[in-house]
Amino acid sequence: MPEGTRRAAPVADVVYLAGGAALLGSAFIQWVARGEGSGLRGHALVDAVVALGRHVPALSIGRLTVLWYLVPAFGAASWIACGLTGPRSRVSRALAGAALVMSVLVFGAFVRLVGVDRLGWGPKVALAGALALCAASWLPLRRGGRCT
Amino acid sequence: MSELHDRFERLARRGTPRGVDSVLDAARSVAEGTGSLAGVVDDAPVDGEASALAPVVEIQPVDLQPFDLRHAPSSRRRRRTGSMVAAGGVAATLFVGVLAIGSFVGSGGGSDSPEGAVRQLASAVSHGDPLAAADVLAPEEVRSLDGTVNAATKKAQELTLVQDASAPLSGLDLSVDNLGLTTQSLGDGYAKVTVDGGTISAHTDKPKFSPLMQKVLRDSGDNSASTDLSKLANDENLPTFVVTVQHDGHWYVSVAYTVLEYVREVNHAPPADFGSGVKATATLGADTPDAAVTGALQALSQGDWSKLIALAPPDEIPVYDYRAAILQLAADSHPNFNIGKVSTAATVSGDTAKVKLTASGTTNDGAKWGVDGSCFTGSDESVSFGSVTDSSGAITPDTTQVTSTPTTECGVGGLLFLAAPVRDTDSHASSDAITVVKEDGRWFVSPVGTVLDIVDQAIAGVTQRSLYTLLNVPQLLPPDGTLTLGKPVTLPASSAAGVYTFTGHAGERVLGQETSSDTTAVNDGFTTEVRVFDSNGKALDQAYGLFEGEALQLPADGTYTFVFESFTRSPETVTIWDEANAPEAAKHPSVPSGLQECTITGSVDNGTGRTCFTPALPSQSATATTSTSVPGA
Repeated sequence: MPEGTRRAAPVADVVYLAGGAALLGSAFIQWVARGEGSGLRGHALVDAVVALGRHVPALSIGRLTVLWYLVPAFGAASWIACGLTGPRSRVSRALAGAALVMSVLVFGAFVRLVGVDRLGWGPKVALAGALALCAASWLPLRRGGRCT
Repeated sequence: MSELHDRFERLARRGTPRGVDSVLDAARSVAEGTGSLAGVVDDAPVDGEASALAPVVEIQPVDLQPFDLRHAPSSRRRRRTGSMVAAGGVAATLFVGVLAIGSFVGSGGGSDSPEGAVRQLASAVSHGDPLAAADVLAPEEVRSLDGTVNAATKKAQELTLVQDASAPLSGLDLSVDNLGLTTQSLGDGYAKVTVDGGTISAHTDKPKFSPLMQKVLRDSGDNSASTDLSKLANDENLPTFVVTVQHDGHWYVSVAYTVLEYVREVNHAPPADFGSGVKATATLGADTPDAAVTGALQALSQGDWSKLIALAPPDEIPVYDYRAAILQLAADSHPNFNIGKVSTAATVSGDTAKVKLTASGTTNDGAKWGVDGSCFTGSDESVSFGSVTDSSGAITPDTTQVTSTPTTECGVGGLLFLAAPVRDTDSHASSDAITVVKEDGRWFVSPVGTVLDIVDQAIAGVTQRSLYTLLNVPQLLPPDGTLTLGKPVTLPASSAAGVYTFTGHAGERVLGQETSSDTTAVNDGFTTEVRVFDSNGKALDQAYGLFEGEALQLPADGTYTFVFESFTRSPETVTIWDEANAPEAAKHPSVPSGLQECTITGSVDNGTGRTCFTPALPSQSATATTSTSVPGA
């Protein structure tokens, strides 16, 4: 195994964990920068932004709320997967992919609902976290390592 | 990889890793237990004995792959750290799950502490988030406030008052900083949070306002202001405070308790009995929604404040907790109306009922009053003054006459029935019913629900025309038509503006003439106001006398916008004439009979050959206008 690749392993671990933390932490920062919904989270947040009159096809309030909660849930699940099987395991990769899909969906929904101007850091951090998970899962490193 | 290597790997994974001594001790223990060591001397073999005792084994070369022992300890540490990460993930998953369930099941509002609730409110203000602010207000007090806020912001966006309904305060930056708070318990679940320090700053950023608001604020620039939050009630020698209440483990800011506590403290009234209303809910209220409404009306007419207090929902408006203070303050208040007839019609839906009240009676002065839904019929009193003119021409008021005219106001105007009726024909949006809520099996009249219903309907009734008129920018409305000299146009019977364009030329002098079948308005001289704007949207100052025989000279060629605001209750017709071709009635309109004719002793405006006079009147509150202008004098 090349020396450079071996050194990449702890970096991937850290990136994977940081990605999970970003997904988890996104639930606790502003998803709407200002105006209605800027001080809200979860169900109340989705209620507030949907009540503004715009809607996303096929995403009802209930579905969007579930998606919103799945973002931090995937962050938490990624830690479990990383701790037990490592960042490059099949489970971790599947979680990373799912988290990315989920984050893109929620990001797009919020862009449509509140506009780019009022988009807070929440969806951006979530998307960055999901990208970090994917990057860490597919970085070139040895197989089978566990996180840290 | 060789088969032997695999076997070593399997062997290496057997059992629990331990030291050599431990392995030997265990082997010895097993051997002793099976008797395998019987006869074996526990002495170290002397030289030569060992080789004699050892079996003869032919050593074969084995191809073993190197194993880096330096990594063995770190592997164990990694496994332990990985387990910790996984455990953290499990904890985080549980936390997110609890949050999600709490969000779906619980109210999701409020805060964990009284101070937290106030800080959350300050944060909502800073972020310009009215919904977040409503989220931290006591839920029973603001039952459907979020719906009203939503409706108002949507309407504001629909009418382009704001650019984005989701950021209705865009352009107004509010900021609450350095908040210093102390908490004092007022009772179980009640706390007074005093603001010891902090500032609230407001800054307007005109470019962020909607284009409409920028036009409304055309003459003003950006403004900034800052206030010390701890000194808001300095005039009353009181600190700034907020009362918070606890519901289901969450703390909320209570507007009702805060207001009542301020009133109590300002008047040095007896302290509140916090929580007594909620505890006594089952013994308060009325048996039915109808009984609650009729009981409240009767209590109001009889000045039975205790009964009235008992009919208010204790958690929505906690007057029962403050009954000692309220009874002390209301001791000298005596209503002056009697009830002749009263009837109700209730529609019950779950724990909420809508009761339509129909009642009538007289006041102690003999004037009639009536309520039909949210419409109130009362008396619009006007005062007119008579006068005498002495030999020198001076005028002296000598008589006054009070005239009562039945007036009906609905919706928001109807709410103000105890004050002077408001001439607002656009507030016809009305809620027919009083909201009554059921708590602990008893029915209470809900002031908040009733008012918000009416406000909701008033918001729904706001039109672009009425809003632009209210904001004093009627010239921005799409034109209703084109004015042609000599051709009358009919204005809608409303105080909202009628907007017409007119193509004029520099130096052209125009006059206006108005006719209306609303004799009351005509007699009062309160019919139509006219404003004229040039093609750049600038108002022409000389337009105000257009209907008073004063011609308006147009300054340039171009399209002018004429805005007529009619205050009559029946359709009115206006005609614009070229001064040279105008009829006599336009050149010299008659003075409204309701206005006082007078002999002129005032100054003479040589510019128009007209003379105006305003008599000195006794200082009275009167709705009638007595000043006048007399053309041609």
